[in-house]
This record gives sequence, C-alpha cells and structure tokens, in this order.
Amino acid sequence: MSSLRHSHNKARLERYFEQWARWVHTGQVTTAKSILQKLIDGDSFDCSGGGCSPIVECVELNIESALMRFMVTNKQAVTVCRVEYGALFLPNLPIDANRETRALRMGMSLRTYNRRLQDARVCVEGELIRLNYL
Amino acid sequence: MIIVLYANTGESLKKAFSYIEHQHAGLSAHVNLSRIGDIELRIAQLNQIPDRKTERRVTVVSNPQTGRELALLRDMGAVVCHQYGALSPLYTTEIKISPLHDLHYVPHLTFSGLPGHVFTVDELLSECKVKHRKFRQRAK
Repeated sequence: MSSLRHSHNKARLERYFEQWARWVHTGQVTTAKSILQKLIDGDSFDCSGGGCSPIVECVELNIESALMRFMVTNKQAVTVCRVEYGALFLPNLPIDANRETRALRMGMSLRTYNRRLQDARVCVEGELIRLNYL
Repeated sequence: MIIVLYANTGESLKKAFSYIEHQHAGLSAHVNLSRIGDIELRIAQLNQIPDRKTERRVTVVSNPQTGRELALLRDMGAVVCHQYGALSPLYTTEIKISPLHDLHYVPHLTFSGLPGHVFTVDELLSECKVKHRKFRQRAK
C-alpha cells in the first residue's frame, strides 16, 4: 500500500515538474480567460476587460521558489534539475539527448548527474509535501 | 578513447561490450589479444589502435595478460576497468589494480546494493569519458 502511494506520488511529482518546465518557458500563470473559455463558462462580456492578475499560489511557483532556495547551497544540482526537465536548454544539445550526453556536456559523469538530480528532487519533494501538493 | 576491460567471464565481457557498441554504433572496436601468443605481436597490435584521442571512437581491449601491455595501454591514456567480484587467476603479480586510477564495474545496467566505487555499465562509460577528457587536458 505504501509503495503504491509512493509510486503515485512519484508520478505526480514528475507531472508537476513538467508543468513547471512549461511554465518557465511560457511565462506567468494568469487568470485571464480566452473568449471560448468565457463562452463555455457562461460568463458575461459586459464587465470590464479586467486585468490578468498573476497567480501567486501555484505549484509551478512553489517549485521555482524551492529551487531558488536550494540554489544557495547547491547550485549545480539546481542546474541539473533545470536541464533534466527542459527548463534550461544547453546550446547545440538536442532536446531528446540522453542523460549521459547531457551529463558529459555539463562536464560531469552520469553518476554525479543522477546524484545531483536526486538531491534537487528530494528538496522539491519535501517542499511540495510541506505545502500539501503531494 | 581506449577502454581496457577485465572481465571474469566471456559472458560478462560480451554484456559490457554490447552496451558500449550500442552507444557508439559503428565507432567501436574490440581488440581481443588472448589468441596471439607472441607478446611482441600483441604489443604491435596495440600500437596500431587508431584514433585514440577522440571519445567518439571507442576501442575496447579485453583482458591484457602482461604488465608490459597494461603499462603501454596506461601510457596511451586507456582507462582500465575491472569487474567487481572475486578476482580471476588473471591477476598475477604483473597485473595490478591501481586504486587511484582504475574503475570497478558490474556488467549490468541496474544493480542494487553496490559499494560506492562500483559502477554499472552506463555509469562506467560516462566515467571513462570524463577520465579520458582529463587525460587529454593533462596531455595538452
């Protein structure tokens, strides 16, 4: 039962990381709705255009802030995490490059890469558990 | 890049080499000296290994049997890897494990409960490349 919950958490964590990587490239998460979404929701168009205030409480921001905090103590682990999930692209490196290639490009061995990635994941996982995301 | 693989069995050597071959398709070669009796011929064959500088081309030398061969390979910048486990009779007084430079591996991709200094095959290849780069930088 506990291993099932663990694997479920792991899958969710992976999903959150992917959301975060997408968020890094697409910019801020806003509450703005498309016209189609407004029609679906049955909203009125009479109200003013309103602003699109940024969402300040979302998992993407929490992951980012956890990584920023972790960066103070372990900068390389954070860089590895960013590269692994595609939040940071290394020049002239294909997006689908395997871990070994990525590790060598970053000047480290596969074992070091995996260890640093694990460190960053543990840090983020702890933070997300604390905030009841996991 | 030259990798010297010491394997206890032919099967484990095959496993390790097949992974390297898969990663460097078309750019890997296996030098097996066990069938050449004369040491001078073996040394000559080792001297003929092409393209030792780049890491794209990988030459795997399996089980060199004398200290002279091993010393030559070390001078060429080869990374020496020993299979983790009980030592085979190959390890005589001539063949020695250098604790600072040599690597230990298991011929599997995943293996739980390994000591910290033992690598799986994928980690081994990556570690060899890092060591090779360091050797090339020192040589410059």
